[in-house]
Amino acid sequence: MNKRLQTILFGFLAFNLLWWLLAVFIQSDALVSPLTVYKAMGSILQSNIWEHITASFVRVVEGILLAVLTGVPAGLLLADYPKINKICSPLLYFIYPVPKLALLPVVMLLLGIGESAKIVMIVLILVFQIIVAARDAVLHIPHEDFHVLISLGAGKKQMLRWIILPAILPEMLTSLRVTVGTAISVLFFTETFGTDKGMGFYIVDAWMRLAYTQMYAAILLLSLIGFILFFTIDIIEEKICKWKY
Amino acid sequence: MPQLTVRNLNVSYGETAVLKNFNLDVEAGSIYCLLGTSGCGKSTLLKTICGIIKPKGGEILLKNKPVNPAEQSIGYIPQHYGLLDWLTVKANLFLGAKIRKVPVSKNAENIIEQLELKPLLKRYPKELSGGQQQRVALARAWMLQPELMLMDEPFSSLDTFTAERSRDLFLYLWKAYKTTTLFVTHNIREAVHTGNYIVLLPKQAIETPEIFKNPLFQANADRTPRDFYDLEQTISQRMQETGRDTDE
Repeated sequence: MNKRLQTILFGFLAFNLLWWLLAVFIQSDALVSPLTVYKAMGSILQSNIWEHITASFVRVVEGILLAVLTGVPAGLLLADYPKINKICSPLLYFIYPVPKLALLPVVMLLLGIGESAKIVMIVLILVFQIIVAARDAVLHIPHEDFHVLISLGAGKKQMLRWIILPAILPEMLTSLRVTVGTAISVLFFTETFGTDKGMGFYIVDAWMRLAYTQMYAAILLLSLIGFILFFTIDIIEEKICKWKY
Repeated sequence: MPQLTVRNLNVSYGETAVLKNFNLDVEAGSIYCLLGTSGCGKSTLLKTICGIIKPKGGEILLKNKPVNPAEQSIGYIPQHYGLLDWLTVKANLFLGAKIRKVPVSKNAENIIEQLELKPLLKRYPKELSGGQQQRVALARAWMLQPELMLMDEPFSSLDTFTAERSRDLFLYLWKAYKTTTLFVTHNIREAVHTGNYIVLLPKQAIETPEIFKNPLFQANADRTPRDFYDLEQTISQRMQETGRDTDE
């Protein structure tokens, strides 16, 4: 069996065992056994839950893509122009630790309670991590890698194509892996306001209705979205960063 | 007419002058071994010629035209070979042709064959030994049939046996293509076994360098190990007299 599949399977079994032991030990209505949740999963999946799964999946993917598409070029710009980096670095370090989740009311006041506010929140939280990761990854490329290309008369575009992008790719994917977890957490939080679609809404709604089995099933499915994104990044890395393996 | 002319070259790192009014004429089809202590400016000279370092003044002419890596073909082998980790050996070899947008040289196949690289083409640099990486770097530099070859201590991180084998391969390629070469080393033995000219660089490169014609170069029949030893001693003595002694 593939080693990764083995790891995933082992992790899944260990998680469920722990969950089951806790449910048996605590004996509370609020901690439903995994067996009950898996038994109910079939009927839950035949309900309208797909609308919620799709809404959440689209939001999180859009947020991550926008954060990458703006963060990576910004990081490259800072790495390439030390003067801009010198001006922007203090601002970046000041903004980086600000708890952006606290800005949710501000974002909603400015953008309304629709889709854009939710996506902007995800972007706001991810983009600074991506900018810093991209900038630092470029600055860590050994100078000698550039020397051979300079001696061949390469221009900036060729440096980007042959050195910068491939060299930073593994670090960017690692950073993306970290941001997926954060993005899912932010997604959950933003979906508890001003919407009736999304896994965040579904979980809170089930909680309010004391429908704990549904609530746990939805938490599992939201985790599955995160897992699928995480796994996709792994596959992409294996395919395009072959030299690392 | 020399293949390469360096006139009144000035290069500094901040306030520290590394090359000051430096002059050198390099004959076409020769190997010039640049010998000197660490920090005397040997590597700086190569990096300036191939455009990595911008000089503060002076001129560098390749075939009587100001040197320009985008228009003239220059092969450069840095100390740690400069192979790109994310490219296979094959992609590394043909990188020059892609960057310069020129067709792959007719001799590419020959060079790959001569340097025994065929079985390694699909591997990544990290999967190669030091000697294999060195052969890839040699082949890559020769792929474009450069007008000038610049080699910066290319064998210094190899064990003695592999370094000697790599040097033989380099001389084999050089005999086939007679590429004008500047070869940086701090090893007198390597210099007398490799170059037909040995350039002694001063400790602080503010003078015009002293150039020895190597009488043993290519003199196959007559040379003995004793001849090489004597020449090494002569050069070593000369370097000590002029304050140019190497690290070794």
